[in-house]
Amino acid sequence: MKAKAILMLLVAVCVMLAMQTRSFAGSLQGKEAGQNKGGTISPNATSKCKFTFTSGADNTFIKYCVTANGNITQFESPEGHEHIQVFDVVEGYGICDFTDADHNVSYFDYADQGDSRNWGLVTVLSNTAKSIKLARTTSDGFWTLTQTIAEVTGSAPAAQITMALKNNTGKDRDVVLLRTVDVDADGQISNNLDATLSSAFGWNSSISEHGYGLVLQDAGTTQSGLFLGTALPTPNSPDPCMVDTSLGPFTNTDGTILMEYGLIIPKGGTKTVKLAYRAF
Amino acid sequence: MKNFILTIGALILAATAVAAQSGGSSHISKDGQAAPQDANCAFTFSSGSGVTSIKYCVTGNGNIAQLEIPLGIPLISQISQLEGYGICDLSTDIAYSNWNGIEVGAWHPAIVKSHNAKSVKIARTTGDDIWTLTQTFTALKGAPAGVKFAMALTNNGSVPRDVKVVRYADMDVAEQIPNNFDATDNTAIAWNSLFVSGEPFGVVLQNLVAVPRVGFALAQNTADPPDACHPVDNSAPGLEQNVDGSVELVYSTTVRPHSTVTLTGAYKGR
Repeated sequence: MKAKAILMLLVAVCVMLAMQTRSFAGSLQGKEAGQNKGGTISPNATSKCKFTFTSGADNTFIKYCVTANGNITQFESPEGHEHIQVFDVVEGYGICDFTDADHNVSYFDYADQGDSRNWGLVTVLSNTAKSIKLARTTSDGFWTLTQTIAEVTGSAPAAQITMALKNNTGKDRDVVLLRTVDVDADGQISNNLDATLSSAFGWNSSISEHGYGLVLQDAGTTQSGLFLGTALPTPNSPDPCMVDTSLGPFTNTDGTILMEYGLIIPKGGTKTVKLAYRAF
Repeated sequence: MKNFILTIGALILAATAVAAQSGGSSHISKDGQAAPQDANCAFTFSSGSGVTSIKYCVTGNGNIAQLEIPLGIPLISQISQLEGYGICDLSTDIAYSNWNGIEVGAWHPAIVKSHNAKSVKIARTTGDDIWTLTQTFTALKGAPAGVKFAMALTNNGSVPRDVKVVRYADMDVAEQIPNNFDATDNTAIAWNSLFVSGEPFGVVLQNLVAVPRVGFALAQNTADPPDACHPVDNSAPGLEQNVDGSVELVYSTTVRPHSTVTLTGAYKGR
């Protein structure tokens, strides 16, 4: 009974959001895209590695890189098994501000797939051998996304992502914050894909010669009461205000996995979610 | 929309905070020996909160009879409670296994070596005294929630022996039969797809041995436990949807005389 209630509500919120936003999507590119406060064009989306992190060996090996804009565009684990940097590299973050029901606004940066052209410059707040912390404010000044991407070492190494989203306005705001990747498990474009409430994963069955996978999983301590994993049968990451609900699992598909978080962020406040990429 | 999200959040938290059922009574003697066929919980552990919470119990014979991730979401079948370990001595082709209530080969009673609030260590020797399996169960730190098992296998004999070691569990995710099953080289998965059937949770059985090719994972398209000497006989050929299946890890190694090899793995939430 409780399961059905949760699922019905999760489906409903996705459908409602999609219905609210489809009519707005056409105007998004013209009205909201473009320039930041300083009048300069947002930095181009890129998949070029800027910060690289490596540790371990054999099954505990992990190597991943982060772009100047905070995208994870390379992820190798265990040694010799790459899951993201294959042909077009699509990985990144997105926000849908649906505070005003008839005026939803998308912000995203998906590396090779491009960005929403409504972001400001990125500021590197700190950089160590184990982590990188970057902040980026939307060009309308409404939001500041601070990402900390840290290396988790050990028997199950991971790239852990902490995304802290600050509402810079004087009004409480409702958003969906998401992380997404075009997974190409072990260098293979077509994989199996599916999702649970707290994870989304792409993999190749062990019967193949490429029996590896990549999972994007909630890492707990989230400040969101609403979150879910999603697998999509397309390599293109979605507009954050137009995430379709697809029924998995998908087999032999060039697809995308993502985690979505529903957040209500008070004026001047910050909400944080934590998730991780891990090979399996 | 705001109230809607708050309602959903409250429901999710409520769903994941349901108290777990308690295990049955187990019989551990004063000297730490477990009754040979005792399949009941002897040691119960719980930690964490929300989606990273976990509760599991270990029998006196070293089986994980119950596993909930998060609290209130059982993953190991609560009907069969089949979970356990198997050894195949490749030099004799003799199997020794205990799948919690189903025992193959001769075993001495298990002995509880130590236990505290965070872990339990249980040793058991085969009836022919050739092998001693010492298992340690510990909750994983951080996310995802999980329980790690270390299986230290000692060759008590005077010649080196090739051996297979198997870990297996009959999974009924969120008390549902059937589920989806598949495996990569290192990880076997059982789960319910989001929006399709059952509560959308899952579990993995993952090889944590750092050296490549010592262990591999597989999903079985049956709930029945494997033959430790033929562990891949019921291996699923690929993704299996809507089956009553199980997950398995198989380790292959050589143990020198009077030496010990430790094989590690974990059950984790997905």
